Amino acid sequence: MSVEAVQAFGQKEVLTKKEYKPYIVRTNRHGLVRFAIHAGALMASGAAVYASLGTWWIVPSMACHAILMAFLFAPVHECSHRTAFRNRTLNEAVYWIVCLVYMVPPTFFRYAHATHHTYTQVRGWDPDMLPENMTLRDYVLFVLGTTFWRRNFRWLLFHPFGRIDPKQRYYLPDSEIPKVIREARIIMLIYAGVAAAAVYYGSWAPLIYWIVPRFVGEPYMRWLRISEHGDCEESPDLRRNTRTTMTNRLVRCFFWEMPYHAEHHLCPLVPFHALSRLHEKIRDKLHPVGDGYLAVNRQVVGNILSPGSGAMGLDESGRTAGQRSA
Amino acid sequence: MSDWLDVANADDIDEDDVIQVEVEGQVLAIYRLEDGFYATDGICSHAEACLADGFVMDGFIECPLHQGRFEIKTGKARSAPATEDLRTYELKIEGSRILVRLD
Repeated sequence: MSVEAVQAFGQKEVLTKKEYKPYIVRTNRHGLVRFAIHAGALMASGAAVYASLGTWWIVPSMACHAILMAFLFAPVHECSHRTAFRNRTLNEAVYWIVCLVYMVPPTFFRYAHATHHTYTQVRGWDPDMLPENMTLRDYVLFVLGTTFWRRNFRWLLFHPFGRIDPKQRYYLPDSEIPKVIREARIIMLIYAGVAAAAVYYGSWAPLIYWIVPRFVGEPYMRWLRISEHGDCEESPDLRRNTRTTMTNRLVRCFFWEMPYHAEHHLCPLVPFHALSRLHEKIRDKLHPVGDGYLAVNRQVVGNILSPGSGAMGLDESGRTAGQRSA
Repeated sequence: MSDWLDVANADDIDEDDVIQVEVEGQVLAIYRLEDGFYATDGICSHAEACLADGFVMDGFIECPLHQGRFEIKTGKARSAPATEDLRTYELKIEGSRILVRLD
């Protein structure tokens, strides 16, 4: 199949360039406010973890802290697109910080994610596709984060030694390989430094406030992210291969509006804070639109258990109940 | 050196905007900035998106697909995932017509 045949399309079909332009305006203010909210919430949840050490309250406080940690994927993603902030230096600085905490290599992730955007939902090209003919076991392992961590650990452990998976080489121009390797070595040194400092001072802090919540929270993020393309058409048509999932304001806040995922894929230049406005503009041209993460995952599991049971309440034209009644 | 080729009307491009033209089999992007008109390759050197679908921002063209940036006046790739420079082309205005030279 030619490269042209598999590259994602659909933006021109929903929006002219003139219509698109007002939505792409970037600011520093929106990103700074959202980052402050996110960082502040993490500090508060970290304080709650500290206060609840040795009690049963550790369970809800750690759960909360872990979920907020998992939501750091949102600023990682937004900064990778350089849409979090208008100022590029600020964008890259925040990007590095969140990537370090979230444990993804910044440059390599940027290229991997760009590849996902180029070849969305085209099997064999899209690095983020769910397993083919997904079984219940595949679903559970995916949600638990086994695929995510296996991939990330390979990046973090092998890249410092110049070993880039040959199946992932097509993400990267040759000229960027030295940078990816150098960056991986810097990250490894930083992590080694944190570990050494923890051992030296006899501190469990990195484990309690970072590592453990980082692992505990990731299944929630995986569960959310299944709805982005799960049970969507396997084709390059961005109007059909990506799902926007309607959800509450709290999730949208910490997810940096990523539930508007179809809008994001169709118009990746649009910063997070304009996605809801864009949704209002193009909602009638999208399908599917999910009626919540629980509903979408219920449908995905339903289709695994009873193949062909149908997409999530969509009618023949692909509309949900909410869209039909609108 | 090749001849000057008439590719577009200057009035067809708004300030801080870009259009695509195809001339002798080559796809070019023609830009209008505050200080004049410029021409580069019209296809992104990263993943072959059409640069005319992108947006001019502060003297750069930003690819619509992955937000790679190129400096319009020099064609230089300035941010990943764009790493390979765009070729620039000589351009002149005669009356209201935009002419470019491919060599």
